[in-house]
Amino acid sequence: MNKFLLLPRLSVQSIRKNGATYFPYILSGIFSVFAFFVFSTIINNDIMKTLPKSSYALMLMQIGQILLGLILFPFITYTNSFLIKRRKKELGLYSVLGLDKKHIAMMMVWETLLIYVIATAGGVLFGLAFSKLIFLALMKISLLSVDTTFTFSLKALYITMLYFLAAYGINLAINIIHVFKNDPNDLIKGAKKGDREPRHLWLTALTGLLLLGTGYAIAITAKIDSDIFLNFLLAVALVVIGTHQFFRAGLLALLKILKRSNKIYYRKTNFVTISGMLHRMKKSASSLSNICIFSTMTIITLLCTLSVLAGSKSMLNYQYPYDAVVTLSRSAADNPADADAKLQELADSKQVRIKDKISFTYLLLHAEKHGSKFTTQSPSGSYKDFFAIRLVSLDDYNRLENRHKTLDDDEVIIFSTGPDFGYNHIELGNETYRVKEELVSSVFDQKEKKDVYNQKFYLVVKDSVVMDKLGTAFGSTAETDKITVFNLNLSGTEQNRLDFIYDARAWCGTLSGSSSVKNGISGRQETASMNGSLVFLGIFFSILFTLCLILIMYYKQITEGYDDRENFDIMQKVGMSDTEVRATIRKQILMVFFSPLLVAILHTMAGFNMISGLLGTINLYSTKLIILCALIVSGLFIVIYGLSYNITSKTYYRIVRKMNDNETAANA
Amino acid sequence: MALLEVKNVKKIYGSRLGGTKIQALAGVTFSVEKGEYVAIMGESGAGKTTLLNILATIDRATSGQVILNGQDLTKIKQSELAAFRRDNLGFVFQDFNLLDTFTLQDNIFLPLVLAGKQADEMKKRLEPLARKLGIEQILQKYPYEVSGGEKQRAATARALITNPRIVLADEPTGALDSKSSSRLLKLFEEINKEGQTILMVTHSIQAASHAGRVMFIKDGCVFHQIYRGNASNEELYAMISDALTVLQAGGDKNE
Repeated sequence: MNKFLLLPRLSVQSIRKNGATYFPYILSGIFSVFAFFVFSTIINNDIMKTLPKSSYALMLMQIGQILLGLILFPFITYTNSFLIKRRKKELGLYSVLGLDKKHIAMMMVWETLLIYVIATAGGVLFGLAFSKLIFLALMKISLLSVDTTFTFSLKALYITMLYFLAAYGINLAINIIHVFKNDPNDLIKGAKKGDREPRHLWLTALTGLLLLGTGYAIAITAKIDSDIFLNFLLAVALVVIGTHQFFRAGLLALLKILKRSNKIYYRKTNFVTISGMLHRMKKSASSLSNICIFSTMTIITLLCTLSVLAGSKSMLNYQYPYDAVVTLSRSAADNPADADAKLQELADSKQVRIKDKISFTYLLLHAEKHGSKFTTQSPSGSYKDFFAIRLVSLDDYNRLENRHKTLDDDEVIIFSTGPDFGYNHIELGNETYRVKEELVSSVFDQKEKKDVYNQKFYLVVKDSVVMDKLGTAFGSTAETDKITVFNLNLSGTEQNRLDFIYDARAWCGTLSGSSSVKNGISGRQETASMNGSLVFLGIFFSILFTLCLILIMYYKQITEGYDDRENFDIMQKVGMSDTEVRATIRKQILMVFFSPLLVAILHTMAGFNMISGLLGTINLYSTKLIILCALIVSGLFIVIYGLSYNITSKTYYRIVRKMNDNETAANA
Repeated sequence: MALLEVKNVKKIYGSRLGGTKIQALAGVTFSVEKGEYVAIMGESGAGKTTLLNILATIDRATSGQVILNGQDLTKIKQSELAAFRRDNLGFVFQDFNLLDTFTLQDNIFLPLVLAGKQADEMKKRLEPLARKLGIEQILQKYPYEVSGGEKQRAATARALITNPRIVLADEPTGALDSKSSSRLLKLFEEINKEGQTILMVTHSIQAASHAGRVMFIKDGCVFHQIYRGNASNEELYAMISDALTVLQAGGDKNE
């Protein structure tokens, strides 16, 4: 054989022979490249920058790529660590047989190069084939206008090649350092010793539970307010650390309790499982907690994605119920009827018909709320207690709602846009009013009980005398705080409707007082494009997380399979039947697989309130919808999980059995 | 009736695609009485391990019969083999075959656990055995924490704890230093004196010289046997040594 070709040939051979470990590695490499390349291609596409309303989408995709880069690298390193562990013995043997470390390193360079070429070629090829489709899907989900002039840029290819060259290069370096650090004897032997027990076992187990409990408590009691993001991060951190502690110490403590009980420990299947898990508890614990956290991440990502996808429409309607909202202060338009006429005139000139119009005038009070008592805002008051009160006259209310209600001087009708007010009287400054009625819905505004963030109170009072009295008490001035709103829904072509809004805006600009025009049409599109990008990223990352998860489980099991097959061989020699071997393996894998799944589902349940709170911050409030999504996602995840359990346990069994086949063959 | 009867056992290995066939055993016949201590000697490739594997029910004979206590091993169903092995046979291997995941005590308990025995009974059985084998102090240690001799004594305890009809030992001293070897061989002798039947495969004349009978296997056949009679270990050693020399010379002639 040509000496020059020996090393590359050895590399090819070793990849082919270690198929069970290399095949998933290469496959995950191809997928990683594919994902990264698709993101790069979309980001570096010219249309992405020129497309209207795509700024959110572009920004989110860029964040996505950075995240992807951050996740893929440790992922590749992690899978690589399994590979190198598997190959230690073989490399040691080469070394004993007279291959210099230099040559082994060269061989590994060849191997890595080969894998790099296969992975990038495969990934880029798939990327070229599918990225246009994926791009179109992104556009579709984001409700962005679809442009077919999607092109590939060399820059995307360049970035991808470079990133993975770095990733694989670093892994290669790690592997080579590994080889040089160990002498061949060590490489051949591998570790036999069991893991040492961590100190302060019970204390660690207890703190783990405590951390988990605190995290859970924060998540369960969380409300939608300005602290929710902080609380979310805190809860996540606590639960992540708690999970690690729990699996590390809690599991060990459990195993020790089980071991102490002769009845449980000395039973066929338990005996092997318990001692096996105790033997490699450190590794087991860290894999279990990683699997658990990954599972939770996947479930929550999927849950949010599905919820946003399904709830997008209601989110848009909540955020932008009207095509246009024109707000004018008294100083800008002292006669609302004139403004109304002007708006109608602008609409006519653009061939736009005003379908719905809800217009009323309110007096704005800036108040600080303590229970049922409202006072003027004190400089030392908390931001959370500051609320806006909008006073509306009974006439306006009766007109808009088409009612004939009456009120006394000291009576009000209240409407809260957030949680119910809930008292039968209200103190405003020094005066107390009877709450004649609390409305559950109103034409003034939408109500969403969970929305604490944007909570406003509408108070219907008897007449302008009461209104002015309260205005004076709270220091409001008619000039700036008496405000007229026009909530408009329009019909006409989209361009015309937009033109009308621009014209209205221009007209407002000519007025002296404060005024604004909220553009619901563009607003909805922007939110839709943001939601769409979120959904897209969610789907993409869910797939990625799931894949990582499956691969981690797979590698964990096959690594342990190689460790265990000698054990099972011995056990068969001393009288364990094939059925018993199968039962033991099933039990072991069941525990490895389903304890993290169980904890992950528990995490999701505990975090549910917080997740729905977070979705509330982007105006998704339907708890029913989120629960439905949670059920669907959990079901789906369990199915995927079950499938990978099936595949993995089969592979594990094959590995364990192969040894025994070889054994009989070796005896021949 | 003899405890173990091996009748004209043949084993032929052939590659699955047909091709060349290799005869590992060419009709082995012998019997072992209850309470005997038999050593089987022979060169590498003589068929010792094949024979032991057939006796251990790990491998099956191509033809012939192996009868243990009246039961034909070649007729036992695959699914019942493990239980049969557990209940009737005790194994001592050259490389100990102890599980690193278990303490020595749990390693010894393994066959009993597989047989579904209660913890109390297992402990009752272990106590005298551990005392005899001198491993009481290290029962809670792991295999990687003790010496080779200690490992092999623990493995012996594992073989004996099921009260097997026969102990099959495959080069039990093969991985031990001379001091540990002689201690183990003395133990084997004592155990045998208490009535335990032992069948041992070995290369070592030293090991074989402790047995009651030495059987020589060559080219898949029983070639020669030496009975101890009243000979001491030293005298038996000399006899084995002579026999091996003859065996070697005879082998050369045949080639």
